[in-house]
Amino acid sequence: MKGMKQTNPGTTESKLETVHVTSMDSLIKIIMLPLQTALKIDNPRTGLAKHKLKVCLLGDTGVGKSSIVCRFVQDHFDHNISPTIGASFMTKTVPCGNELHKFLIWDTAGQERFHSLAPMYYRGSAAAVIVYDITKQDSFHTLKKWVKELKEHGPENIVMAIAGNKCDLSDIREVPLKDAKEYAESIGAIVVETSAKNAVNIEELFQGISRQIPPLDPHENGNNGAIKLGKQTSQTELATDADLDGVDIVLSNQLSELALSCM
Amino acid sequence: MADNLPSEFDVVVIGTGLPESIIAAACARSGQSVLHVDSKNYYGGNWASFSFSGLLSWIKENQQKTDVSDEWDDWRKLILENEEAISLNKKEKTIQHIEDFCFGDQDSAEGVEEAGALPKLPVFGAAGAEGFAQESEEARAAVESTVPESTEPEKATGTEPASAREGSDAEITSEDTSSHSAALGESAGELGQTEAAVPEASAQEPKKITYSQIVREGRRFNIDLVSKLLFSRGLLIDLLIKSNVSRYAEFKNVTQILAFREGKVEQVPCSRADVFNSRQLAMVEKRMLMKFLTFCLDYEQHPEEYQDYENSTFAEFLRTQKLTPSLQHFILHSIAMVSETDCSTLEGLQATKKFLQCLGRYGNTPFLFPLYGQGEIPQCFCRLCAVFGGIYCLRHPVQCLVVDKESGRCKAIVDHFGQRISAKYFIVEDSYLSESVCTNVHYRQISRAVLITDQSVLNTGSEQQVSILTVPPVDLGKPAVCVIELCSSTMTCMKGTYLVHLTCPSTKTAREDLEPVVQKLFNVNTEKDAENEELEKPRVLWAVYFNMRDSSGIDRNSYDRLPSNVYVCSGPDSALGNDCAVKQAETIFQEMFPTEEFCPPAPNPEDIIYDEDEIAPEESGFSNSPETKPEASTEEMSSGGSAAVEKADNEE
Ligand SMILES: Cc1cc2nc3c(=O)[nH]c(=O)nc-3n(C[C@H](O)[C@H](O)[C@H](O)COP(=O)(O)OP(=O)(O)OC[C@H]3O[C@@H](n4cnc5c(N)ncnc54)[C@H](O)[C@@H]3O)c2cc1C
Ligand SMILES: Nc1nc2c(ncn2[C@@H]2O[C@H](COP(=O)(O)OP(=O)(O)OP(=O)(O)O)[C@@H](O)[C@H]2O)c(=O)[nH]1
Ligand SMILES: [Mg+2]
Repeated sequence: MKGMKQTNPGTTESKLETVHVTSMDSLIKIIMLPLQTALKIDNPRTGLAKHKLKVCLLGDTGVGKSSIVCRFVQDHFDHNISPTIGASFMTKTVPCGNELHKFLIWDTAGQERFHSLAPMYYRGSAAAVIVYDITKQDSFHTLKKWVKELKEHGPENIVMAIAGNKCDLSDIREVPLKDAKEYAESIGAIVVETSAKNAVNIEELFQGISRQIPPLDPHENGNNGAIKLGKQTSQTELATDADLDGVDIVLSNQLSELALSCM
Repeated sequence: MADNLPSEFDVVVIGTGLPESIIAAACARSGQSVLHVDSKNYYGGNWASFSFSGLLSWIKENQQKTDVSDEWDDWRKLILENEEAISLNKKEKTIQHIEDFCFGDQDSAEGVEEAGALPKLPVFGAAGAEGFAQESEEARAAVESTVPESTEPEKATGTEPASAREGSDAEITSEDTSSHSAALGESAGELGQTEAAVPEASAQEPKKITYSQIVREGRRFNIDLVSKLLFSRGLLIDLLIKSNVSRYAEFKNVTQILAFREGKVEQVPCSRADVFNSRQLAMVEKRMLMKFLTFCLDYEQHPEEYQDYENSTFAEFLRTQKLTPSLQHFILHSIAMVSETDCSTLEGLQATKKFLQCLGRYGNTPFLFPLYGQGEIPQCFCRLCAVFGGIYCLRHPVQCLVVDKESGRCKAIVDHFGQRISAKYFIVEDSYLSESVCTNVHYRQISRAVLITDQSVLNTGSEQQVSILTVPPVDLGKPAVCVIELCSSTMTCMKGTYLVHLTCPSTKTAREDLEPVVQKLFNVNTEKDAENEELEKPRVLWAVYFNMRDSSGIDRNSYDRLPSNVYVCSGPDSALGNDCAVKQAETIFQEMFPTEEFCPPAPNPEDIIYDEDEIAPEESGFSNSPETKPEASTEEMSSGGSAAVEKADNEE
């Protein structure tokens, strides 16, 4: 598509809406498009492949989900963080082996409060961080239900990471680490006790996830050539059907000109 | 969990279908406080999609004709003297004549259960959902044993269809002798079975898919109750893009348009590339088609071409054009997709033009289909609503609307738990309205069939095709049947299978309307008695027929005693696109808030925050610590920043 815009200035705006062309990089990418998987973008500058990973957060209200993400992404902790409304999406990129992992972290947007999370929330997640509060036995019980819900609605090979948060408050602990470990083992999840407040184990939590993510398989088409609509970064990054069709349309335009002239 | 709902909102929305969800999102987006409830424990109402087991359980629930009695009357105490109550439906009656069939050998499915992502875990299902609100220990116990039969009626409404897998009580009436889906039953409890290696249906070799595989891989199905597509220049795509809700969803292009003519399925060339690459069309035909389509694109400029036929049908008009019968068929049924008997020349030209204009925006056909099914779309709007503070409660039936006798306006609802919640505006999906309000309403019906098959109706080089096929009626005047075939890469069915949706406006029961078409296109016999030619057709492994109420296009005044601040949303209509729902949502929103913009773009995080890749050029090194330079972006800080900073380019 992007290529088309440059090679064929006569195309319509609607096509531009799906793709923008602005730099040489993007042109290079187009040329490489068919060779790349949708979610893997070789970074021309570093040579590292970029792997986008959707991560969803689960857990009782107040256990510190947003605080964990805030610590991870902004290295910041706010005692008076308000229950999640509004802010619901953060990203952060970290290196992992030969790849860059770009975490696209989705927060629940409060839909979990009355147990009404939409299944679309889990779609395509590479990992889920399920958080409980070590000072609240109840939150550990609910955690198990979230795991079951994930099993029902989540993707098959989702990496699960259990975070026992607020470990700075271990003097009023209600959930022994042993319980969490046993449970995590029984479901094949990573487990770690964290403190968003004191920045304990937050990096480690995400590194743990990174390690569990299988490297991109260059033969597998990451997202099946799915189309994202609208003006989005991902749009320019993804090799979508639309991109390929763009090429096709350019070709077909030429074809038809040829054909029409033969008529 | 015992969180109580606030008791005052600006807007209460009842039902999570597409129009309601769009309205909820629009209201929250414009700063209203929104409570969005649904009596079911899934999103979407009749717009929902289900896993295979979820669908079985939905079928079962709709076959139970039991009415829910009003066992609890206490809520009347909450109605004051100067108020009256309009009761809402406990159980909706929008689905009729459900019949399902299993064509495979389902004995092998005995004891098979759906494989989950975490095989060793007990399944979290209906009981769990209910239990969620209860003591957790208790809920766990319930989950670990088999699912208890819900005896209390109000529980039945809350029973989660997405959990039928353990339905040892899933008795599905099956009329076909070769089958009984009840085999699915007996499965609960035998958790060990789950670990049985799940055979990956290989894409290469044509493997026979068995019923037990379908059950086991049931989670891979996302079966829509309504079958629709998005016109690439339709209102829904525009709205998704405009509101930025599109970021929550991904789509697949419909890859081929098919026609059914003289007993054969053929591909319809519709883009110029298709026309020129077509093998079935002769050169003359290619020229004819191009010429005619080019004319359709700006037919208004050439009235002389069609004005003599303005009082004729489009089919008659086509006959006067230089077009072969097969081209006429393609244009009438597969491109314009209009009726042979009822569609005027102008309407036909308009439809053809719309089709052509939609081509090429995202691919070679005018249509897109959402990954994981149409049921994702309402959920995407709900997420936007939630992100802007909307509160979501599934499994939350509403007893009644409370109306102030004097002003005639609705003041509040009383929910099933006896909580009174007041609001200024109320949006109610049609199926929630009780018969007393709807006595004068005449509903149409939609006939639906859903099939799981083992092959595509048209074998082409690629097996990952998404196709739309229009089957013209055998009897003139009857509606055509729209067939949409989805492949596994749409994430709606397991590998090695196809999900086929048939839809038409009802003239009889769904089975009577659609079975003849199914028999033409598919092999519905068991292997032994199938004719040879039958064997070449795709085999149906499982099928369901049902009629769904079409509550679209109903005049507000046909509802009795409807307070002026109560707005009714309709369920899905029988049209292919979603324009009806979007229009309705926008109209209702604008009536409520005439000065507010309808779904302005939610700020895009990537537009607000610079991408680290951009501010951190080469030398900052991805190998040293990007953690110190986080690309932090926060979505949709509700600061109403609709004037999102537009960055032309987010390339790295
Ligand atoms: C089979 C067929 C399909 C056509 N499909 C479309 C269509 O979907 N949209 C449309 O506006 N015109 C379509 N046309 C009409 C045709 O593109 C224009 O009428 C005419 O070619 C004007 O060309 P142009 O060089 O002035 O403009 P161009 O810049 O070539 O195109 C005009 C418009 O047509 C679009 N377009 C051109 N070719 C295609 C194609 N193969 N598929 C999708 N879009 C295309 C362009 O994006 C642009 O919006 C179609 C014609 C035929 C015969
Ligand atoms: N002591 C301590 N307090 C924490 C920690 N993490 C979070 N908190 C506090 O716990 C409270 C809730 O944190 P949030 O991050 O808002 O929790 P949440 O899970 O996002 O909550 P919802 O958005 O309502 O679902 C806040 O007051 C935080 O300051 C921690 O590690 N230690
Ligand atoms: Mg939060």
